Amino acid sequence: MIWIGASWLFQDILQAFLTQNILAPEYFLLFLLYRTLSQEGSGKSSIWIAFIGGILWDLRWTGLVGMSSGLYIVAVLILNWIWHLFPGTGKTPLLLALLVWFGALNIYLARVFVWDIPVFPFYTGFLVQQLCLLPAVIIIYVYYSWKVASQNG
Amino acid sequence: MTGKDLEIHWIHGLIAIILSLSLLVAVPHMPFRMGVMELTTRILSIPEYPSVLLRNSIHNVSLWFEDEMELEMELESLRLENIRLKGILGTEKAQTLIRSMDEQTSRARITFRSPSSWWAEVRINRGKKDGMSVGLPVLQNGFVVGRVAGVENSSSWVELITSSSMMIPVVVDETRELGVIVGDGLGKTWLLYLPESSEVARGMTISTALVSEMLPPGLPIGRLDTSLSKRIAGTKAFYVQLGGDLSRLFDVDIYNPQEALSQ
Repeated sequence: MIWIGASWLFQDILQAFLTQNILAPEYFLLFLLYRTLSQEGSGKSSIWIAFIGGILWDLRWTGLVGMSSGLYIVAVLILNWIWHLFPGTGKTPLLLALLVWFGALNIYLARVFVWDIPVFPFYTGFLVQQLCLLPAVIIIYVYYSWKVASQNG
Repeated sequence: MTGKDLEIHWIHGLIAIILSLSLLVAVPHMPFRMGVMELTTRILSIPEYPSVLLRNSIHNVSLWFEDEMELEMELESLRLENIRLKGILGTEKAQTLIRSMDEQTSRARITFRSPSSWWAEVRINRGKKDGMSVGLPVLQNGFVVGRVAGVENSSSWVELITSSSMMIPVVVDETRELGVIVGDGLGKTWLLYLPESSEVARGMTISTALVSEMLPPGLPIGRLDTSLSKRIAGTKAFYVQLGGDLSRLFDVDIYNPQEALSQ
């Protein structure tokens, strides 16, 4: 839980640094999705964390209160549903890493669609976002692999 | 996760989405909306402060570099303008000098120029009886081409500026750098003893220096041609394009300031 709060704050601080230039990478959603998918039974609390995180984000940055929370909740619901479509043996660290990255990517595209960002900043912002997210995705992959291995071993 | 758990999960999700959409619709019409947003911003500005400070510092540093570059460019353009103005001023001074020299010179004709010492000396048809004395500057079209080296009763010998034994302290008018002009005995003259870091440029004018006891200061000699240079006595030497034309030396002016003073 602390990690989720820390990731929200980190994303907020990063956005303050990048103000008016680029949308900050979705670290909050990334770690929230990781928590949802990796911890059985955390779905309910994840939804309300997504709700609160989104509301706070909108109050601070977008002004459209309810927009980010809605997007976050939809991402949590859909990815949780996709994750549970797979059998236990298919829930690999790679699949988890790809799903959380896919969720963060789609939220960025949704934000771009909602705010109608021009083409050039869109590509620049997209590249910067994904490059910033990549290390976090790798950390999630490595950590979950280690966790699964230690549970099995 | 059981089917029931999933069902509860979906129910919570749908309630949260409905709440979000309700807020999205309702909040813009709420009067306290701005107050809540302001409060959120104020609270979060505390942890955001270092990041804002860093962003502003980076911005200020980039602005400082931009200002610095602009100043450098402005300085460079002012430096070039200064050189141009000095050049114009130098030309005006040279023209004034030529006019005043016209009033203080006496014309002499070349009577002998030996092929064996073509670039070293000439003889003129003025001598002691005409007031000639050793050391007087010899000019052509207002530019120094030599000086009187020997005087006889009715003729004098003039050592040319291209002579290898002739060394004249000079000044570059635009940069005020001092050097020495020396001939190579083959029709060319070179400017010596300028530092390696010298900013002399092609076209800058050269005139006799105040440090010289041989010739009065400020007499124009020629222009620098920095495209030609060579090393003489371990130092870089620049070619000097003489103002006088030693290939068309039929008559010269003898500059005698004392004579002008007595007049």
